[in-house]
Amino acid sequence: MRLLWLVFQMRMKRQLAYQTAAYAGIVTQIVFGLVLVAIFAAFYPNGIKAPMTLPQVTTYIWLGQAFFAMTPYSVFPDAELREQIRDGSVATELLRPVDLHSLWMARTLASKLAPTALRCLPVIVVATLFAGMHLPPDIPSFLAWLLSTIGALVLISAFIVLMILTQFWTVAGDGLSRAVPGIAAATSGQLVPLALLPDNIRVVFEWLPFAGMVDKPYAFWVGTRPVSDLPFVLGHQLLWTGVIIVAGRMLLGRGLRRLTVTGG
Amino acid sequence: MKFNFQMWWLFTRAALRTQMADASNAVLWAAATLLGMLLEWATLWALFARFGSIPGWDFASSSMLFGLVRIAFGIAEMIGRGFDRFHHVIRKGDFDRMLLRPVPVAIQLSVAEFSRFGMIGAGMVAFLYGCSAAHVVFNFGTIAYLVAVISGGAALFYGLLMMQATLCFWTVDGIEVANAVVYGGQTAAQLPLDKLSRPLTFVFTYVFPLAIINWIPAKVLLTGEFNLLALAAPLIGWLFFGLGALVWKMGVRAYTSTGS
Repeated sequence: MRLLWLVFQMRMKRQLAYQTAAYAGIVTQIVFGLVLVAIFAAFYPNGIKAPMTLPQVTTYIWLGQAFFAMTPYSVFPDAELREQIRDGSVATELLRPVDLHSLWMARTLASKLAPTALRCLPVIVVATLFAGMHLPPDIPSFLAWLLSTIGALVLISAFIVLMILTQFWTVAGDGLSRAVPGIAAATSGQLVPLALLPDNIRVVFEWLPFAGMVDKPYAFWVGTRPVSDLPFVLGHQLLWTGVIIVAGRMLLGRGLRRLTVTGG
Repeated sequence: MKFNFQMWWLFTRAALRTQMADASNAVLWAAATLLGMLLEWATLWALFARFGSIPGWDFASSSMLFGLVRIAFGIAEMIGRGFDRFHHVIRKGDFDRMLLRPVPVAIQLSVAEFSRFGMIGAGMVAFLYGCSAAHVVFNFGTIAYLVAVISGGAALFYGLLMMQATLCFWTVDGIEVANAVVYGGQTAAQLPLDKLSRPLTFVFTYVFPLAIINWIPAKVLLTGEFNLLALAAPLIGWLFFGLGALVWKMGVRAYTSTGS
């Protein structure tokens, strides 16, 4: 455990070194946020019956931009891990006296957390001051958001490790993992808040793991989900995290069994 | 010129063979992109289902915009993926090796990648759906115009990819700024420009003229009325491409290797 903590810290340090990338990211996020807010604002004159008000949608969109680095938009935040499978150096990794899945989990957590930490505050500050974002309605909502965001981070990391592991089968390219950003964006709430989708679709999406990565935590901040829902949200996240980790471990086991290490 | 084209064809054939060696992966990739794009299109539908249409604009016409921009970007990415990934080339020092080959680097970077068919396919589905739902009448003139518009749109994105790659000569990493316009623009392009806020309208008309190559041609198809700006639209895309090529040339000339 101590070792994993060290790995996590090392990764954090390394990721935090990429400050220029973070500044560029902030600019991207702000432009993107403005575009999305403008699109929703165009729709809203007809949106009297909508289950979210325009300020709520605006806040939701800006949260999505502030925490964009955390979402599974990029399936490979830590490109080295994918390369390890591709170029075979994963064999060296196996020599280390650490459980491979946990090691990758620690690295992925760090490579998701660090860029998010660098980017989220500036975006929130700018959006709150100039672009109509609102703070959480009260402190309990904020705390519920914070807890469920931690849950989301772990869930996302587990999911990304699973995606990395599919590389054992589709070595030449990114195969399956290519579909993920699209699916995640559509079903998580990244593109459209789930509350605005038609009810029969929304119900399905709410059960999928992606909702726990974006929509559920955001809803606490925005105030469209009561704080009393927190146990259900955390339960949903935890359950999916467990399922994904078990699947990942099985995949890793099978991948390693197939793996033939050549050379001396 | 002929030699360059032959070299490009040679590279592209080799790349195609590599991709086909793991055909299941290539197919999976294309299918995956297709699925992702169609899902994105579906969220657009969900918005219109929830809110009804905006004055003068509905799901059909928005689908045309959505499709058109993705066809153009898909083509640009298919040929220009090398520019999109240029920071890897710079970081690894592979650029020095490319300079040694007796073929222009731009040709080497333009090797086609066929996995982009997914995006182009999804764009076509959305665009054709939009056209049929909006009862767009096609004749020889509009089809020729459409081809010109798509080529102009691809040229526009290609020019941007080249500019983005040029940045790498100085920044080595962190090329995300261009992403703001590339992906933000694709999202913005789903709605008619006059429905967006003023700063965005400015950016997508004068800085990165995506609206001119997307929204204005779509309006022509919907109304059947050409005007001067609509006719000039493909040309503006190609002008942007020229600008990108110029910037790229300057970047290559200014490049100094860290070499050994």
